Amino acid sequence: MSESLTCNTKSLRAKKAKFASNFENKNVRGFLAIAAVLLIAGWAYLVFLSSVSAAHLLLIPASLIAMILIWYAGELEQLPPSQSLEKVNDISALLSRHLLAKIKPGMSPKQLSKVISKEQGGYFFSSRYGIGQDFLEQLSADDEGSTALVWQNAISLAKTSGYDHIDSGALTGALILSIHGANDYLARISLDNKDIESGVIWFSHIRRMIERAEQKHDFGGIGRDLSFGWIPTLSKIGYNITETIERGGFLRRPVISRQQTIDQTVRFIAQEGRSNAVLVGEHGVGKTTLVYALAQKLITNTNEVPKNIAFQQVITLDAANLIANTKTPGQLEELLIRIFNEAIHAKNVVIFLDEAQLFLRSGTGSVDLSQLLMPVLQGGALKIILALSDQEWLRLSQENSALAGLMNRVIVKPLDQEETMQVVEDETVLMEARNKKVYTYQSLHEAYKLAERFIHEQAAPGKVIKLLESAANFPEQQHFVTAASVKQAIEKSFDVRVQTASSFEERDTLLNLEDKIHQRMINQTRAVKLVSDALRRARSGVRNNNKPIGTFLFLGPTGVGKTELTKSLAAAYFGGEDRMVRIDLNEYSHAEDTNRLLARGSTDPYSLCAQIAKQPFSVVLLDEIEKAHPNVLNLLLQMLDEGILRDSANKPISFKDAIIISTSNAGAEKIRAHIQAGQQLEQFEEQFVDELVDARVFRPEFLNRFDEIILFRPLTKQELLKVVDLLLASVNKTLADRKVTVKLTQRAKELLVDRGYDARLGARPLRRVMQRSVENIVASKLLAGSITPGQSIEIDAPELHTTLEQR
Amino acid sequence: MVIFLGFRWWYSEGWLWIFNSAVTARLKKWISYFSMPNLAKTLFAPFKQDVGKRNRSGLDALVQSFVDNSVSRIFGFIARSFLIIAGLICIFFVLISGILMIIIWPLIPAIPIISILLASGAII
Repeated sequence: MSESLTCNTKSLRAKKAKFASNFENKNVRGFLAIAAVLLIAGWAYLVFLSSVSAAHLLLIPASLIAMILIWYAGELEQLPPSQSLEKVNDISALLSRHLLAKIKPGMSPKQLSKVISKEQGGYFFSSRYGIGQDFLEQLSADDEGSTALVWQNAISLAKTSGYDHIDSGALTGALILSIHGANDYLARISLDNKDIESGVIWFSHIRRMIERAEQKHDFGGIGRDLSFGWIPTLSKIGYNITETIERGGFLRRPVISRQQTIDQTVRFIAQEGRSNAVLVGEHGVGKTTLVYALAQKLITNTNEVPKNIAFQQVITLDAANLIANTKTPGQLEELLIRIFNEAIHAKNVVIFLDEAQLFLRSGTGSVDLSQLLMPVLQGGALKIILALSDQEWLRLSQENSALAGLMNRVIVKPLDQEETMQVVEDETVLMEARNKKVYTYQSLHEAYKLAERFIHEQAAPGKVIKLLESAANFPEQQHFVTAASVKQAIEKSFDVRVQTASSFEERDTLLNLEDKIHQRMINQTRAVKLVSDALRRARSGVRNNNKPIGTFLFLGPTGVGKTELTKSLAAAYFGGEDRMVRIDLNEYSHAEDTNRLLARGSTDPYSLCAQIAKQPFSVVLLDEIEKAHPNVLNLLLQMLDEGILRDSANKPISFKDAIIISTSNAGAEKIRAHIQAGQQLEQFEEQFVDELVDARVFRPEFLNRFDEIILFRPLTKQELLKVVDLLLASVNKTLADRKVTVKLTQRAKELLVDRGYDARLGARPLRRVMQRSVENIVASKLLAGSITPGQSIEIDAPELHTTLEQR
Repeated sequence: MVIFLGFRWWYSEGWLWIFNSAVTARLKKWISYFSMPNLAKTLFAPFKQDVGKRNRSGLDALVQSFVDNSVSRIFGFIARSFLIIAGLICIFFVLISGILMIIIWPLIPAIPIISILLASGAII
């Protein structure tokens, strides 16, 4: 390839392109065709009926018009490239006709960007990538010398698109990549060079889809079905997938891994004997789509399939429809026998039972056909495809091994990221037609990322498509589905937060999280800071998404604020104390208790798994962890490490949006002793943890799973006085409705601390003492009418003392 | 002049294009439309698989089944033959029109000159 590629706008191909652009409009061509016909008709009338010899001159314009229209149809409309992408010395030989007609001599990249903005490729990058005309015009170079780089990039991109020429998609991509410092600009809109390349491929694929849709397909002609039997009942009850395809209802590109699966299925249904296939794969993996692709292959690629199944039509049955068409089980059986007989007799029908479990056991909306299917499958005369999930296949294998043994299993695996994106890109075009929205490229990638992270009950590509469908409910600028729309959809569906903190209130909360937590709890500054830091990292997007937001082990005596910190965090940021999932692990001291942790919501809605499945964005408090059975702790290792636990049905439950806080009183006496000896926490922290490991309270591998192990120290009397203030504030909050305010004198507070402090239980008894004294005094006064709404009362130590002594 | 590029195409790639579009593509289309290869392969197959079923044994049943099948096959043969003949007629017209088109193809650019000569009375 030449370093100084140019575009010869005077080349023969360029001249043809410019000439052709005059006839691009269908109406112009139609008008010319009518004119030619009228001229010929006039010529015929005048010459043969009126014998006007001068009328022969009418043939001159008629023949010229006809020749131009024929030339347009034969060459100009397509105008194939005159050089190959591999060996080119003049870019005019490769540019698409549309582009070539608009290129003027010596154009700079900036001028090219103006041309491209009115072409389909320009619109594509503008709507899908957010790279509009302004972006290109502002950043493209304005010197002619830079255009050679654009042409070189365009050739490289055209090679990836699979076309033999440079279309407007490849040229737009080339202009973007040729911008000086393109990487930086692209990074600002979460893109890189590879994404632009993907865009060019996607654009060319959409072009191919449109071309394919416009083509007339050969489906076998009017005599195709003469050799095949009548299927009146089947036509009435079933849904004919083949007919849908004939009407142009299936436009998807063949994904390589699916081609192999389709070929395997084709081999099974074409074979003599057991001509059946059971597609086994997770929900959402694309089993139904695979059958549509298979049906398409049977009627369009007849050379690639065995002769005995060419032109076979695929008809799907719906269990609910079957039941609705009959009144008794006997009638249902009769109907099915008739349907199967028609299919066998017709010799061109493949029956497809989607969600085949509905045909294999009785229930609401389902029907047990196993007894009927056995002889049919054994005989092998009926060609049938069933679709089952992995679990349903295992169930069938266990419950009816004879029936399962008659079926040819085809495993349908989830697609990898690249193939998923190809399927999603195809589906996007159809979703856009349905939803009247435009999906951006970034939204597709965000959907893949978030579906992988949050949707575990379905496989790709189904789950990605489902998420994109939901995202259409949260468009931006009226009709654009963006990455933010996808994030909103997942936030609404899963009650999580995936968007980085953007609102002023949220950023303010995060930046001042410590202050907000300290409004509820006293001291433990280090613990509060570490937990707040973890949350800030998560919400600013600086975190490992494959682990929980943060995992902490709080060690310390009772009543020093371990649980209070957890509650405060849930209230301050997660939206309320109900966001805290509390599991008291002293209730899980037996090996079999692991089952209770993993129970599904349907059996125990309060199990750890059930609560997190329902509310993934939570604070999980695992209280008194040292009392849990080692098996329970082993189970929690995976949760701490990978953020995943599998429930009793083996469904993965994600803890990746939770903060996990474990608490333990282990070694509380030692902490107290160290503090009483005048040491600071930092001075003995490491030694203390080592002692816990040596004493086999915790195994080192368990402790290593936590992001931080935080020691809580006993509260001092000064701090307890502040706790009294917090408790008093809580009492006043309760009394706010009565418009009564309570105040305590300093001596009263000190008395409460004296009575409420217990070296063993920390500040925990303080709340009870407060209740017994302050709240009782206020209650008595309210009942006696000695205080009225709007009043403020001050309680002193003697009054408190008297009340406490009365008990 | 661009028009000369048109003439160049007319007498070079244009020949091949008119042959492909007026003959080959049309033949393929009509052969496919009438399912002719498929019909030829199944010429004597029963019509819509309407074949008699033997529900009882014996010579009578065998004869009855044979007659039923033969009738169905004869009916199938007639229906297919009808379609094949209709297809052949179409193909005939396609071929004739295609050949005519190929013959007059090189003459079309000469029409303006011929017209002038006709108008001037130089040729009758």
